[in-house]
Amino acid sequence: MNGCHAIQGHLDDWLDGLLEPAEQERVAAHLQDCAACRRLFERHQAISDGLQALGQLADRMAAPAREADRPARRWQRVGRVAAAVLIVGTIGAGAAWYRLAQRADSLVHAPGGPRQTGTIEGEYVGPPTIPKQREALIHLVKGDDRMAVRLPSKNPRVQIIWLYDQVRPTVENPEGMDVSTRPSS
Amino acid sequence: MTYALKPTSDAKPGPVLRSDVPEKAALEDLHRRLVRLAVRMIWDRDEAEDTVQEAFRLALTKGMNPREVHFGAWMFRTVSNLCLNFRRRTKPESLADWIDPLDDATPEMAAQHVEQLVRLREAMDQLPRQQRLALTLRTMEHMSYPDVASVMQLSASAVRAHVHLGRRRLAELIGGPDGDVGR
Repeated sequence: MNGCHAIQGHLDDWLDGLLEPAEQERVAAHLQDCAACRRLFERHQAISDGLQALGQLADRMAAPAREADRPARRWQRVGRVAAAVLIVGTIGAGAAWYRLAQRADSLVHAPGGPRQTGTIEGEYVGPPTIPKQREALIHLVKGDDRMAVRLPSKNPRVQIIWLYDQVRPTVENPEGMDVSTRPSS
Repeated sequence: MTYALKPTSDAKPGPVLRSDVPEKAALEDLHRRLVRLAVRMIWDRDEAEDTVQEAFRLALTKGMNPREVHFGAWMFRTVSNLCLNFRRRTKPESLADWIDPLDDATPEMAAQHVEQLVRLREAMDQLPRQQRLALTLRTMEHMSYPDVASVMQLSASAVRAHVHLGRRRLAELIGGPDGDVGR
């Protein structure tokens, strides 16, 4: 329609409340007849309304008494801190476990070092999150009751070595193992 | 079809100190308005407080005087720039926490309302800096064009162009033939 370009130049002025009354009437008459300009105006009006709604939400956020108004937010913050502590703790424990496992692996595969392997029956007494392994090919890596256990893996290229701190062997001296030559830590 | 006129606002960036207002009250009022602006730009109350604190520290460092006519505009400009340069370390605050349940007839409508506003907030973040700032100061902070111009150090007509382009870009980013983002 003729005049659309000129009208569209005035739409934002209308939204800003800067149009003179006479100009407003001219634009309104055009919008009644022109669906394209009306659609454009309504979209811009929706954007303006949305921005005003966002501004009102920001006012509530910025209000000084908001903490008192929304006590639940304090608990959300406590929850976030607790979650952060939990994550950091988990990562720390994981890193410690990984270092132990690496150490066990290096001890097991140390060149020239003793490599005792055999089948042993053991009773796992650790926390329940660690998979129970009653029978496995094990490597004794240090004194006492710490063992690196090679877990069965379906993929021959994957080697799973799990370090057990709390394995209590039910067989004192398994066949093929020289317990007296355990590598020391 | 009805078209509501948007009220113009008398929110002004300065001067901050006037003879009829105690200095402490004037500075507290400025602080409150700056925090409100920062919240509108970075959507995190704590970060907004820190940003405004940093702006006041910069003002002290540079020897700015609250009695100067341009102090208010300078503070708004500084907070705006700090907010535009803000690197988000946490997710912005959830808008759902701040929606007034009485605004919406049903929970579904409230959820839809929140979703539209979140999309609009994300679209704002994608705007060029000048358009984002001009739109924030004009449509959310309700500053007049001359006042926005004094904060942005541009002419009023340039600010109007940024507001216009920003609205158009937002409509494109929100997408859809209806552009239904508010009420």
